[in-house]
Amino acid sequence: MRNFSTIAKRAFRTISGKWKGYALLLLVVAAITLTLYIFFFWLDASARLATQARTSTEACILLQSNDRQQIGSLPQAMREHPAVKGSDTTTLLTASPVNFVNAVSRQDSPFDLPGESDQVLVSAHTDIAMSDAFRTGNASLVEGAFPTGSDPQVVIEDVLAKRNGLQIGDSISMSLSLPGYTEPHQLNLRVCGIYHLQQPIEATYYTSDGTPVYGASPYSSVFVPFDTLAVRFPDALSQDSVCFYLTDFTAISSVLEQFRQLNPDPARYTLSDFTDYRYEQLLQASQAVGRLILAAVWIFIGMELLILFFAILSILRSYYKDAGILIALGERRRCVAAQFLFQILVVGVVAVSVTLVGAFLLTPLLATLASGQIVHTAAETLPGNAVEIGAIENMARLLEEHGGNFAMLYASIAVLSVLVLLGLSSFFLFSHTPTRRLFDKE
Amino acid sequence: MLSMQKVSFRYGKNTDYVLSGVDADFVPGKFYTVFGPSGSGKTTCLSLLGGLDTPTAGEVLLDGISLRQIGGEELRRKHVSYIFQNYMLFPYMSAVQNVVTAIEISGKGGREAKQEAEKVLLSLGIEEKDMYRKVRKLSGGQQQRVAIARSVATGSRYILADEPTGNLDKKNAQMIIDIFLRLVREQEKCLVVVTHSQQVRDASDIRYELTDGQLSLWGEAAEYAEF
Repeated sequence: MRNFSTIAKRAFRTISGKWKGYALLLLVVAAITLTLYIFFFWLDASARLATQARTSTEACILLQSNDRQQIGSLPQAMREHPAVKGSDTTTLLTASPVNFVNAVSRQDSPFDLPGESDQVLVSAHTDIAMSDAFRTGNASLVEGAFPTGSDPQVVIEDVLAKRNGLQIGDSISMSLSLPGYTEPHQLNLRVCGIYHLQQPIEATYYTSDGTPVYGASPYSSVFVPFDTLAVRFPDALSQDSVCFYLTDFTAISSVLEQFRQLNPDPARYTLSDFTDYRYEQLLQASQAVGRLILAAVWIFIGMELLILFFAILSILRSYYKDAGILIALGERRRCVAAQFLFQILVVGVVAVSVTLVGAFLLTPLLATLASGQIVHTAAETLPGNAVEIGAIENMARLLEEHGGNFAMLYASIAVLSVLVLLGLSSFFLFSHTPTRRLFDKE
Repeated sequence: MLSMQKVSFRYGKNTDYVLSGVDADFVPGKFYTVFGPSGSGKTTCLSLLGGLDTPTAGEVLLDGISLRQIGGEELRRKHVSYIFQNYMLFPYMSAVQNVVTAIEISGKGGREAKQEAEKVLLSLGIEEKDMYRKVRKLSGGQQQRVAIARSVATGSRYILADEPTGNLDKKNAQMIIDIFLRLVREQEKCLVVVTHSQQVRDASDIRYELTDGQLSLWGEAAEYAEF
């Protein structure tokens, strides 16, 4: 312990006495730390982006069939495929039959209000909570709960509830104009939940003349359990759909292949696949930006390592004479080497700490710059594909929250390891005699 | 007593011997000088006596114990200290810090080391105002006195000096010689000085001449020894 305090005191005397050399070392180490920080930041960012791209690209395969048995058995069979999102039953059910039914109200219906739409869109799901609107967070339940009981229940939009003075527990009746039925059919439902919608739901809806349109629905959506419709109006649901969301959009072809193997007769079903390329587009752009960043990082690292080499060499040369004097004074060689290691580490730790504080403050800027640059590149290199704001915001947040911590940890470990290795190599160096130069040549 | 017994030394396997079969004794309370032509191995002698190098053959003994047993570092920490021609101080430290560094290595520390350093420096004529100046700002004579203070403060009995007046004018050289004589006479130090200086040689008690790898007594001492 006494040895350590003596070495530490002497080390601090040396650092303050030869501050110019150590200041250079501090600057170089700080520069290397910062470069490595940017390097690791980007490494982490691109890895996360790639993962995001693979898992968040909205790839799905829609199977439409009039064979109820086939629709019922396929989810179970497809559960085995690794790319089918969530092989557990709950998740699979979210991708189970989905039907949009055009519901037209009559003059006496509760929705027939002056100046308001006389239509609602009835969306039937086996698990409403996992339907697109709720799963993506576009819709959120603000009151009540999702249907659980056996009686016919419905979840309605808050705007609709307010306009019609509806509350949880109220009963409503709707006249549904259903395919396969010539007359509108009455459906009585109990309001069990009220939700709030951020953006209009995109769906296929029918105009007043019966033309199907896909897009942002002008009508308020109500959500009912699939069975409510299936039991009451079996003929209306002449064609069921199974929608599989994929964990990996690149696996579409293999999933389709499995479908075909399970259903050898293509006449009995319609199979279609949809992919939203937002994240893939961002991923490609990020790879382009990443190539530039990494090239710059390698150049900087190369230059900085060269300067570090000369800085250490200069410190070592000047310390070599000190080491000779210390050994002539009776100091142990391992203590001489330890002092050198201590000096380098003190400067290194200070440099790394100061840089990381700076890096911490720099992280939001770096995240914004990176995501901004990626969007810019995406817009230039992939014309015609709009990059959605939500995806970019999500990426910037992702970079800021995770990339910074990861980069700080790895940059500091890398820099301090190099310094420790350099310092430890001095134990070998000072085990040789640096004392002969103390004497003047005769 | 610090003795060389049949000491031979060469720097590499394929090089000539610098010293061959040297015998010499150095006792406390005496001022020795070693002189000889350049390249004769005077500095090597100092290096071997202080345990910085190990003899190729023969032994260096301290009070009858081989330095191989004592260890060079232990020897220099407690028994032997060096003074160099170019002072070999830490130029970025003050005089006090230089001396304290040596005292700390010898095993003392804290306030005691600082007080001891100040006391020794004062006794060697370093004024208080100069004690805390960086040594590179001191004159050559002052720097050499700081170097002497560093070797004295550790309490070593044997002081080995390599051309200690080589960079000094005659006046400063005489001042250093007077200090050496005081150390020998008053503190019973054993001083071994390698030098070309006639002035230093004349002041010493015993003179050795080193030629052809052999150390031999010179002058009156030699005559006395022969007698």
